[in-house]
Amino acid sequence: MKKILIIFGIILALVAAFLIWFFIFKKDLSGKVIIPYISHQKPRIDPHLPSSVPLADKLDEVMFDGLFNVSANPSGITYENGLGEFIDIDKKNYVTIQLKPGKSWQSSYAVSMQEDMITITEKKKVLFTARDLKFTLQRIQKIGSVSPDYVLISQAIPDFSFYGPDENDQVRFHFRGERLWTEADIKEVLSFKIIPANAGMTAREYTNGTGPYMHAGEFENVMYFQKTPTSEAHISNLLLKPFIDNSTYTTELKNKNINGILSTPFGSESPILNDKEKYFHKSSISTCFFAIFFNCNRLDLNQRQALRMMINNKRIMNRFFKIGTMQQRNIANYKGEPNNFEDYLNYSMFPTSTYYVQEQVVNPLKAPGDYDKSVLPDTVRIYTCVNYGHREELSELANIINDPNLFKGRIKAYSVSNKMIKRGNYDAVIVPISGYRSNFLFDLYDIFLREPNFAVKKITLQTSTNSNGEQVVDPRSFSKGSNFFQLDLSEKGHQEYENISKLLDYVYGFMSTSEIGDKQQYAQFIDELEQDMALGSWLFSLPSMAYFSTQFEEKSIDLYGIASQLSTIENWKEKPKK
Amino acid sequence: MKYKAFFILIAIFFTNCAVYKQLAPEPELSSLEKGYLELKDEDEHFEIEKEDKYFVAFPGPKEKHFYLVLNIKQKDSISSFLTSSLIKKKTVGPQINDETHAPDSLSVYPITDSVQTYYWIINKVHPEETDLKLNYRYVPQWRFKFENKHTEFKSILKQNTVDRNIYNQIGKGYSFEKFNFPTAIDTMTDHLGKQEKVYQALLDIESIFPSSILNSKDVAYLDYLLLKKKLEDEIAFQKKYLATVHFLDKIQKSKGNPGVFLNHVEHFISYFSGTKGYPEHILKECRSILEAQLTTIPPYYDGLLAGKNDIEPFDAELYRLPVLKRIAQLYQASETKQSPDYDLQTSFLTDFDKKSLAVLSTQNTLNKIESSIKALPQMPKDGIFGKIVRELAELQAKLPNPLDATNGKYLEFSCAKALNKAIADLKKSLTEHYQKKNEADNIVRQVNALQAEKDYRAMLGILKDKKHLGFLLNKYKDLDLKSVSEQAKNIGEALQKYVWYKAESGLSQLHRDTNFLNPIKIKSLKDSVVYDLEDSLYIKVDNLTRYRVNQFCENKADTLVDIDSLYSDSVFLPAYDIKFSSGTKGQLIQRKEALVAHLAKLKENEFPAKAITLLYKEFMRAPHKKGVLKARAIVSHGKHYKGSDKKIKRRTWECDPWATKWITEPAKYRRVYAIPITTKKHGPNTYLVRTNIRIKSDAKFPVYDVNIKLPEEIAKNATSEQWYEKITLNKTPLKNEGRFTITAPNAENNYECQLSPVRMKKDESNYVDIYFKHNSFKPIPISVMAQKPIIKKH
Repeated sequence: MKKILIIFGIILALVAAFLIWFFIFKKDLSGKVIIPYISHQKPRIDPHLPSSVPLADKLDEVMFDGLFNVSANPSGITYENGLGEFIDIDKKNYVTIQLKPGKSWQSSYAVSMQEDMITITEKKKVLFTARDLKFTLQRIQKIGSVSPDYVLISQAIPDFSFYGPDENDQVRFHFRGERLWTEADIKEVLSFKIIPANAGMTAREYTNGTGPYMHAGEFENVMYFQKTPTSEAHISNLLLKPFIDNSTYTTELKNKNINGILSTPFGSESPILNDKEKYFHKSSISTCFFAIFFNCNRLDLNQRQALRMMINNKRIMNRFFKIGTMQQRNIANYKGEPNNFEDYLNYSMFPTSTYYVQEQVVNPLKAPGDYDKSVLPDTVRIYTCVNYGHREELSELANIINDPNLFKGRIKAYSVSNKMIKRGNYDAVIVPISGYRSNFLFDLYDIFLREPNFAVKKITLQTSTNSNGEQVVDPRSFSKGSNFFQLDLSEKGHQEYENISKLLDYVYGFMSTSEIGDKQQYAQFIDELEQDMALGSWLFSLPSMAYFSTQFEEKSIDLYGIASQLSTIENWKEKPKK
Repeated sequence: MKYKAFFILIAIFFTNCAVYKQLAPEPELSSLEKGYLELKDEDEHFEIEKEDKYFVAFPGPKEKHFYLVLNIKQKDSISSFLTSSLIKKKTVGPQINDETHAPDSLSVYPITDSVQTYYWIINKVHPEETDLKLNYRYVPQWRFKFENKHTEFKSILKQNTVDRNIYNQIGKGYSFEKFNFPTAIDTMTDHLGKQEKVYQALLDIESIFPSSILNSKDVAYLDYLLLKKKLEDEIAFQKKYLATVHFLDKIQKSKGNPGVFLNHVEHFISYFSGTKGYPEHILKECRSILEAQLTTIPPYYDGLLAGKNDIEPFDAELYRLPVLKRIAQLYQASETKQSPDYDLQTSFLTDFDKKSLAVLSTQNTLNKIESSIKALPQMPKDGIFGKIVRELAELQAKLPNPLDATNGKYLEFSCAKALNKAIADLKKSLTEHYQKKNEADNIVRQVNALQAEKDYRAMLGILKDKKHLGFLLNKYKDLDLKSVSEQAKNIGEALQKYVWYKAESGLSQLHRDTNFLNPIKIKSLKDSVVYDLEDSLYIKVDNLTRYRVNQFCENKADTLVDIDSLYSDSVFLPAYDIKFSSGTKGQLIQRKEALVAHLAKLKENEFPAKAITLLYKEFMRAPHKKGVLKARAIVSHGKHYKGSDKKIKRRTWECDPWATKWITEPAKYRRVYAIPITTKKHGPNTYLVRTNIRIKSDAKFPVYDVNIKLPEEIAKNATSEQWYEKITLNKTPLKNEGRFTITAPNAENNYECQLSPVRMKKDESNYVDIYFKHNSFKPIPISVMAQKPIIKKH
């Protein structure tokens, strides 16, 4: 009897434990997409400007619509109707777009959060109008070449304007006449994200869109995005969960605290996420590369050239991925090719993955060659800041550089505060360039005109109008402390003034032109000039590897091309529960 | 009104009033022949006034041919005339002619018994008034005339009478040697003329004699008869005398000159013909003189004849043969005996002319026969020469005998000898002609029999031995040509019927043939014909082969499977292996090689080109009907095509999925057909479109967007599954990954897919291959366009 009681007690305890686990500890992530973010780098969304936080750019697709939205299907990318519908293009290249004024801005809804419970109620509808479109175009025009949308639009609609709307809410854009505009091209041009006219030209961030998800609020630092009532998204909620750094992302996924990672540490496969029953991963083209920018204020040309030759990016990368060791960090590129590490090595500010290198528009200098160590300082001090993303990778890089076997102490890497970086008190700085595009729109401002600040991405471009009425770059764009390289055109007597000035012109020319041929030519000029100036060591790109819980239907998640990984979030589906 | 009517009546009255007042003599006028009678108004003369017009009605005579003679004193005081008609004393008839010989006092009007009344009209009286003093007479016209001329006539007779003494002395010793013939003839002719005029006047008067005067004792009549008789006698004498003087004058002039004599032969004949009643002494004298002259004529002619050497008939004009013949008449008219010399001479002339004409006629006929033979058509019919033979026989029969001894001395004359020689020659010639034509007749019959069988070579065999029958051979001038033509025709027919061995053997025989009437002349033609036929043989073989190939092509053009086997068909071998060559062996080989080369061209160029053209047309017309098989057939043909026609090649390439379709211009859609490269009747097939984008660009690094317009059936499921199997650029796969985008086709973008950006090798080929699968087996049209890309954000 006693035995029976004991057995019964045990069974009862097990059932109770199961019930407790089931009702209290079992994590239910259904109906949610939960992805991590660095807690102190809350994504601030500006759909027209690149952000220092990659996730912020990805959220553009979540919250905002263009006239047309880019999506994808198994056959490739598609352009879906967003706030517009393509009607036709006539022989004179007038493109007629039917606006969808019935679409309401997310500010039409009142959102209340009770802890993590979100209630959305309708309030007075604020509808999309042509005014919003006009405002958006004005803003992009005003931002100029800093915004990728500027080049996108200016190549087709040089005056950034349109006719209408007419009584049917149709507007007409006059596209440039020198080409046969296909529907795909038209929709690509009109895929810039539209913000409301009342949003202000220089808002800190933009949270009121017409996209499938709206920002609902935050609870315990978790950012909640709720599917709007009119959205056709399959999954109702998108949550951004804060974490100290990216080192625990895989563990969090394994622990079901999140169900998706848009980039893994080191961009590598995670050994703890090998269970294909539970996880699947998708790799895409690199959007981040690491580079060591040389401080031109601290290192003269000879020193920079010597330093560049000294830094062997391949040896660093081998260490980085622990290639050939038991702990090798395995990778796979977007083509599915495994461990093709060398493909990630960069020899130019144009990463190897970019069009410019792939198509040999530029010819990066690969051979390190001999160098004169004596010209270098006793110790070259390289700083980095690990507090604003890529903590794992940057820490690892610093460790590798500090390995005496590698540089024999001639180079010392320091992880410093962002303030130190801002001061420019370094011989060189390790910078992760995130969110780069491998297509024509590769962003050189992000490299040369970014304020030395890991926390934000502030572009220091200044333009002026010359005597011909043309907008030209202002030499003040390169001023003391305005860029990682400490390039400065304020002192004309600088021995490298001419090259620096030329560099600025080339960079502006590259970024502001909408002519592919010009871009090619500028890319060549810049690459050649940079080879002469030895402005940095371009290290390597980081593989882009995303992991998802098999909670989702793998096929529904399409991370295509260089576009935002969240572009197709509306199509993401959960697997039906068995 | 009444007055008016009165005046009208008065006017009518005066209008109907007579114009001429009749003078009615008392006693009444008498038409009897009584001499002059005075016209009186009882015892008074009629008073006539200036203001009036008058007439006197004279009765007509009792007989014809009368005169009304009016003797009017102071005739010039009036104007008058006689008429046979006066109507209502107002309207006069035509005036009768006044035949007066004394117009100052007489008016002589011819009147006749057929008119009852004549009206002497006094048309005008010149003085205020005068007495009409008039005597009238009714007299026969002959009397009035004779009375007026009798004295004159007698005087003329007397003045023109010729002395008859000389005339009477002719033949009686009178010598005319000193006779002045011209004066005598002129004088006598003048006399005679005047007398004959008088005589004629008498005859005129006689013609109007009233019947009652004959045998009457009327003095005037008796005077008339006497005067007439004298005149007739003198005229007859003068005529004889004058004719004889004329004869003697001409004889006188002919003496010693026969040619002049001949000029007057007709005159002499005339003279002698009119000598009836001439005194004998005159006739005798004239005959004697004539006879002497006639003896000079034959010698004269002999002299002329001796100078003639030809056989032509005597020229009548030149030899004055009509005159010579008239001499016989002169003999007869002059009652003189004809000379034997004259007879022999005229006989010779007659014989000569007759034979000469016969010879000439025969010669002429023979010439005509010869001409007719020349004019005979080529290849004469049977019997044509038989008819000529008969004509020749007739000619032989009609050929005159030579002049003989009857022609006496004239046989020795040159012309006579020539004529006899001509007759002999002609006779011989006729005989020869007769024999040849007779032979020709036989030969014609033989060759015509062969001609019916068109055996021209056998005809030539016969004729070649008859060179002596040139006239006949001339009728076969075309035979050489016919022989060649016939042989050529036979060869041609053999060629037409594709009896190659016959054509070739015929060609060989013709080439060697020398059996011709004029081998040298026909050689160039024959060689030309041989060359042409030889050419035709080659062309025919070529054409037949081509035809067979064409037929083959027509029949096989829609063949869609096993295309390669078509090219091993014997149709591409020459229809006949030609062994003959008019040229050298090398030329034969060369020509055969040319034919083989041509066949190769047919096989490797024309046949596949035609098949491709037909199949492509059919493919384009109905690509959905066995389109893939058509396309593949085109491609198979294309592999055998070695021509240079770019159009053909392009068509082949269009249908060959593995062949590149060039895109050389930017921003222009190019329609291409996707053709399956697998062959599954059920289930999906793999399709391929291979384009070569080679657009001229100034860009250093040319880059393009490649847009592909797809049919709905290919792209309709593109949203749920990738529509393509793979897309490659220069064999490197293009994927919608990395920096490269492939735009998905959908209904909204009219199923257009875009590859972007596609880097092209500058000035090199850039092959974009599109593979896709589809549950069909048909050509699928898609359109491809490349243009410079835009800068894309995504």
